[in-house]
This record gives sequence, C-alpha cells and structure tokens, in this order.
Amino acid sequence: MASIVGAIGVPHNPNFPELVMRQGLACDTTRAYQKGAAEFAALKPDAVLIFTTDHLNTFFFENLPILAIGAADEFSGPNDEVPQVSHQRVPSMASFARHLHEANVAAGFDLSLVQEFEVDHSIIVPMHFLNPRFRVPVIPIFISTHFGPRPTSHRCFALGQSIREAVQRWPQPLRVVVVGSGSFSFDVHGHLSPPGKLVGVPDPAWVNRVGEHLKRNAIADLINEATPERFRRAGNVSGEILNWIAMLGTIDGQKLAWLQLELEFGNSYAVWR
Amino acid sequence: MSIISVNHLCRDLTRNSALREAFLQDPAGELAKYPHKFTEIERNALLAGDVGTLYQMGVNAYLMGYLARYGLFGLSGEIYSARVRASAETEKR
Repeated sequence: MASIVGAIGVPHNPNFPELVMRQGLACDTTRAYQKGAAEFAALKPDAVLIFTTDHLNTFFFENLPILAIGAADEFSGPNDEVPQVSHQRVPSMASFARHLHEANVAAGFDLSLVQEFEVDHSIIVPMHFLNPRFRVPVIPIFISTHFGPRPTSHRCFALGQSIREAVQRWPQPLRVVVVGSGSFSFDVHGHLSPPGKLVGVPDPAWVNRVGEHLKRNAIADLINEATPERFRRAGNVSGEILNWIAMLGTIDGQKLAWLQLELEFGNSYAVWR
Repeated sequence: MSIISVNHLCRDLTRNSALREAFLQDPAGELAKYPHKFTEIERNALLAGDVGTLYQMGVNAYLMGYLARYGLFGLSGEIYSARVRASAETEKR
C-alpha cells in the first residue's frame, strides 16, 4: 500500500534559481532550499504530489479549472520565464494519477483531468531545488487560488484528506511526499505593491500569524482565518496558502520538524515528517 | 470581444519577443493586426498606457504588469505602479 511519508511547504518565486546561483550560501533562500532538499532526500520518496497554482500558463481564461490533476507519464516545463532554469522533461506516473483522479471524483472532488500539459515555475522551481534532476516522478494537483471564485480553505483541506485516503488505497508500496507550493502574502503587479514597485509583501503580520498557527499545529484556526477577505489584504497571490492547506490535509500523523519564515518575500519553508 | 482579449495580448507579449519588438515599434498598427479584437475603450486604454482603467475593467494584474516590465505602451514600473494604485484609490471612493 502507498503511504504519505512527509510533507514539505516551499515558495516558488521564479527568480529564486537565479538569486541562489548569484548569492550562494550568503543567501537565506539558498540555505532554506538546501535544508528542504536534505529533508526531501531523507524521506526517500518514490513519488511527489505537489499542490500548486498555475499562473495562467497551463490554463487560461477560456478554460480555467478550479481543481485539476495532471495524469501523464511525463510533462515538461517551465512554460514561462525562469532565469537559470532550462525547459526540461519531468517524469510522472499516469496510472497513479488516474487512480487519484477516479477516487477523488468518487469522493465528491471533481478534479479536471489534464493529460497533455506543460507547467510553469510554480512546479519547476520547487522541484528544481528539492528534487534535483527531477529524479522522482511528480504528480501535479492544480488549485485555482489567484482570483475568485477560489475554493474555500475548508474545501482545500478536505481535498487533502481525500487525496490521503486515495493514496492509501493504492496497492503498490509507494513512499509519497506531498509538497505545498506558494506564498502567504505577496502582491504581483497589483495596487498593494509599494509605490513605484511591481511586487511587494503587503501583510507581513499574516505571514507571522500563519507561522504561529503552524508551530502550534492550530490548523483549524489557520483554515478559519484563510478567507477571501484576508486574501484581499495579503496580496493578489496570497491565496497560494490554499496549496499549503491542502497539503496539511494529507498529513498522516507527521509532526512539524522545521519551519522558517522568509518575511522579505512573504514566504515560509516547512517540513512535516 | 471582452477583456479576455487584453489578457491574451498581455500573455502573448510575455512569451513572444518578436511580437514585443513589433509592439514597441508600432503599437497602434500591431493592435489593429492582433487576432483577438478589442473594444474602443480597451484599444484607447492600451495605447494610452492607461493600466488604471484596464485594472478596473478586470484585466489580470499578474499578466498586465509585464507591459511595464517590457516598457510597452509608454509604461515603466513607476508609471504602472502609480496608475494602478490611483485606480484602486478611485474605486474605494
């Protein structure tokens, strides 16, 4: 039987590969991703499930699923601009993804099925750092979190729980690591960015508060506070925390082992094992 | 015709360097040739770099900001920021 052996939450800023290459170990981001990568390797995963948000690169307004799962034996990316990362193929597991799709639709989560696709930085950047050379197969689960109507935080947590149950019904002995991809407070090209700037962190207090909830394992409080009103104040990509909340729903008894906030970018890094 | 045409244009401009160069040289001519059609308000707003109006009309900010990153329609980061912020202030009143 497959099992979830750990969960890792990380940001996916498309400029981080270039930042890490330029600044090396002098940079907090480098050290945080190195720690995440060491944790990832120690979990010895056979497969990665990543909850993420497409930035209108895989999908677009003419066809925009709220929830979707990628089911293919490989996909490629990034299909957007990620300095220092070339376009490459990523192995996946179509049969396992199809099982997750069927099980979750039967459980009431109507995931769109995506079978030929490319992905953007929201998957490639976390995997670039955590999963070197994309050795471990990756299955993407897309949640539309950047604009309304978003799925609710309660719905995303329940999706994570349903995914966990479906993983556990897969008969082969797979060690699965779940990744939550995204920021807690960040505004990209919107009116909440600082004057004269194109990006910014409008609500660092929310980042700290999320961190406190995670440290106390107060997941119900986090879910109750991750509302559309909060997202309106925390920046136009702050809904990405829904990817983390879905990831938290998959956790099967693991405890928080490491948490590091990155207030400069409205981010956090964390591991449950 | 709807705001989706502007969203298409913004995404195409992020992905296609030749299209970007063409729009930098002749924005009005390129808009006329673009396969997705625009309303008069959308066309005027684009040519004027009036991202405040486009923001209020619902153009996706993530996509639209690339117009400023690439210096299209007379925009810079500072001009873009000022217009989008002023637009949001106007909306609050």
